[in-house]
Amino acid sequence: MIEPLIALGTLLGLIALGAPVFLALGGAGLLGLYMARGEMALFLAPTSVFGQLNSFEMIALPLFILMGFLLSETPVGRDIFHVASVWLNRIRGGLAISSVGACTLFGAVSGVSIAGVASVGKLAVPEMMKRGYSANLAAGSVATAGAIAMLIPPSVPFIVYSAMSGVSVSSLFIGGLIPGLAIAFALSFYIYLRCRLRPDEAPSVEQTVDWRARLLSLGRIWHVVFLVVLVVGTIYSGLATPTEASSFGVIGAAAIAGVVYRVLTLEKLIEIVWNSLRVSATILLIIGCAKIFGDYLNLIRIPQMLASTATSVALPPELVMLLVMLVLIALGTVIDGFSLIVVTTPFLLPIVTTLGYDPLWFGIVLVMNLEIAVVTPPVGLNLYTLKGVVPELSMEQVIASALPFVAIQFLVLLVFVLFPGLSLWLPGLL
Amino acid sequence: ASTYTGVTYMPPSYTALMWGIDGFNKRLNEGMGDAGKAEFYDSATLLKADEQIAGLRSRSIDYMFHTSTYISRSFKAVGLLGLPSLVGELYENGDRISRGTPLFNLMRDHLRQDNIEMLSLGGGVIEPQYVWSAKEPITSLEQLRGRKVRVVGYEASTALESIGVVPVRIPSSETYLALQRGTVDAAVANISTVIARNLQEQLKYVYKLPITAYTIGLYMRADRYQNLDPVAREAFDNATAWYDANSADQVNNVLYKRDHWPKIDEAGIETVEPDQAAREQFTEISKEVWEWWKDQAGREFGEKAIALARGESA
Amino acid sequence: MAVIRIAVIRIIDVCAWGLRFLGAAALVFMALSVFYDTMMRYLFLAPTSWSLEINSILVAAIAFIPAAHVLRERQQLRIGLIQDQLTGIPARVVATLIGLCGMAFCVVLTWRGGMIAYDAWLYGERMSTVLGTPKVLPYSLIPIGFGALGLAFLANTLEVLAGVERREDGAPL
Ligand code: NA
Ligand code: NA
Repeated sequence: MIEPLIALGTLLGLIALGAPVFLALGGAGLLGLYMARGEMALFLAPTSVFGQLNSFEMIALPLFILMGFLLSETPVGRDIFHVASVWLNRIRGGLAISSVGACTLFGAVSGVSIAGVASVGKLAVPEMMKRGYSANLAAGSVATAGAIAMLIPPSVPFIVYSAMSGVSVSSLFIGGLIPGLAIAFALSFYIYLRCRLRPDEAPSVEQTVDWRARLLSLGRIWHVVFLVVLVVGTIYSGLATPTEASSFGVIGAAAIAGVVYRVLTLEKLIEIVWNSLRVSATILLIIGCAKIFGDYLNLIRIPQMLASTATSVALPPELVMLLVMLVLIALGTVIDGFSLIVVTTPFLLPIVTTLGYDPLWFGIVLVMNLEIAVVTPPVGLNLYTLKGVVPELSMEQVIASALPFVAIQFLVLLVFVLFPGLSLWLPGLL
Repeated sequence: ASTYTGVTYMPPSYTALMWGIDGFNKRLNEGMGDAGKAEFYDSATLLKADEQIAGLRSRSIDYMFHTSTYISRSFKAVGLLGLPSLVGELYENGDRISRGTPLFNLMRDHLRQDNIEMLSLGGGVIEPQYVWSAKEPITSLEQLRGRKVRVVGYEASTALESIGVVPVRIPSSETYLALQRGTVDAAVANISTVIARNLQEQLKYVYKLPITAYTIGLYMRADRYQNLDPVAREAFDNATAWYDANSADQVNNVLYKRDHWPKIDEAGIETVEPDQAAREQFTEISKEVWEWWKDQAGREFGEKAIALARGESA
Repeated sequence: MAVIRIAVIRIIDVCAWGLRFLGAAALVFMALSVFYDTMMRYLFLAPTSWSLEINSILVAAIAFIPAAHVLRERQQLRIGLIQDQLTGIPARVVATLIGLCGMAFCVVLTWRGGMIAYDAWLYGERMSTVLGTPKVLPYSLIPIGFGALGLAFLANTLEVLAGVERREDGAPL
């Protein structure tokens, strides 16, 4: 059993040295294939990379990314935040809760976490600090809530997990809704309590707003509502399949950016397409190369081995899952979200299913782990994104601000781990 | 001992179709004893359906089971096994493509020219793919006209198009939702696909027109097969003989009748047999596709193969 | 020597940029054609025969084709915790090691992928669809993409060996 350890060591060694993640996965997989079956097995690498990606369902990944990038060029994030703040102005800490709400709503039109952080954070954090909110409250609420976009459909991480596990994207999208909203509520409730206990973190009364102004403000977010209705509506009415609906999201987002906000110059458009292509290509190449490593694991029957180990270990399944969560959170501090899915799923899924858990449920709690991974240092994409759009904050400040929110996310995660039914009942209805 | 790597993209949820494959692998391993070991990978864990041929050719695998509809434009001889309407005759007369028959040998020799050894076609075609409709009845050629029907493959698409169907290409994984939401009106599918994807929950009618069909064939590289060491060769041959005698027969006459069709009845799906006129009309329409296939596979070979498939002496 | 090195790197970068451009075109085409196909099906009962097949292939194209340029821009996802702390000789050793691994990996994929594309051409293999795309076309994306990616690793390594410490934008090598 020395060979699998060499392959695993190569994978982790290359990742630790700073090699591109696709190279670590592909290189370790290639080495493993060669050790297991000799030269001929090397032919599996090109067919597997190609076969893994040559899939119509996968087009949703670049298209939902493109949709998010198109929208983050518009002031949609600002507008959503304004509306939320008008509705919540009577509550102490209302603006921070508003930014959670804005990130959640933005999540309904974006598949990745950074688009929401950038779009909402750019305006909301400076605005809160100007009105006397503590920097910790302002930054922490946006950095963590931005990640909710990965649970609220559409979600790129769910598409990646679907490619790794075979669980249907539609079920995952529906299954992510409840946990996504649960985290949003938990974060809001935490902000509310925190502002009550430490009133110096948020100013008490803000300007009064009458109901007419509140209702009128809704006119500023009709675009987002329109886009959500467009994407969901095309699926529900049978016009398009869930995959095809992603193209409606792109066209709708382009119309909002180009016609409604008029921010789409040719230069801007090229920049958006290039950024979307870069992010998509990066993720897709990792998914493809992960299949080489996955081939190696399959070839030597690692999934079956892990499954039989899982049955022979005499621990309660709940305890095993808690350990799995702790490992994921530990890995999530140093590994970015997408790599976390592709590196761990081949090992964890056989264990999870052997213990009698639903692969759909595991996908959901895995993405809940991603929510934590993107805001934990040292590798936390949301932290760096927020720092990027709010330069006046120091990196240390951003990191410190996120930590208490991470604790809340962890509590919510625990609840969903211990009670799988909470996330499974909604997909089960459909 | 040598390792022989085999694959299929089919997952265990295709219970009926996997019965013969599992039986083959078991016999292959028993036959080889200590002289060799067959390692088999289902569910596309090693190679996706589209990449199985590339894997076989490049020798990253040694043998594969594949559905003929998937490979008909690469292994042109097996295109015969999916020709519209003709598949109805092949289904009724399964023994026409058993090992050792003139038709089997003709196709085997044709594939050998491309260095492919066709060991078995499972002893017959699997029950044809019919038209399964979701909301409104599509149970005649007239009712098919102008309908959006999910269909895969050149042969079936072309025949349906010439009777006025709108052929729709959507991924297999989205077929359930597409039928439920009315994105398509119907789907051309084998009953195994219906059951594996629970499509019966959304379906109301099945029109048993033999649109297309497939075999679950067993293939190797011809040179690989010729150079097998004697023990492995014998084990392959014995397991193949068992597979050829039992696979399609068990699927069509036992598993489908005992396990699959009752589920269709339970779901309340109405079964409609096409009348003689419809069958004949569809056969006439399909002949255009037969001609196209003859051009693809070679005129002389094509004429002969179709004659044999129809029970005429070539 | 420096002149040759700079010229080689320049040529690689131009190729990578060209491929990136093709990738961007593929992404735009994907969004538009899927929308077009869906609308044609819904409104006119006239879906295309090619959208599913072409766009599936384009997903692979989007992954392979821009990869070299993304690597040259140091934008491939990586965990830089350790590497970014290194300076001087250790930094160069690690960067060179990664470059060599990258080149070796890409050589295997280009070579084996090329042989698979060649086989598909030799035996005239096609997708079993109405469009019947000759399989040599999609399979050629493998040697093209990984060939360019291997050259991008070469360019990175040449820069490291020449002692270029930082890129113009300040990113580590
Ligand atoms: Na989302
Ligand atoms: Na992290």
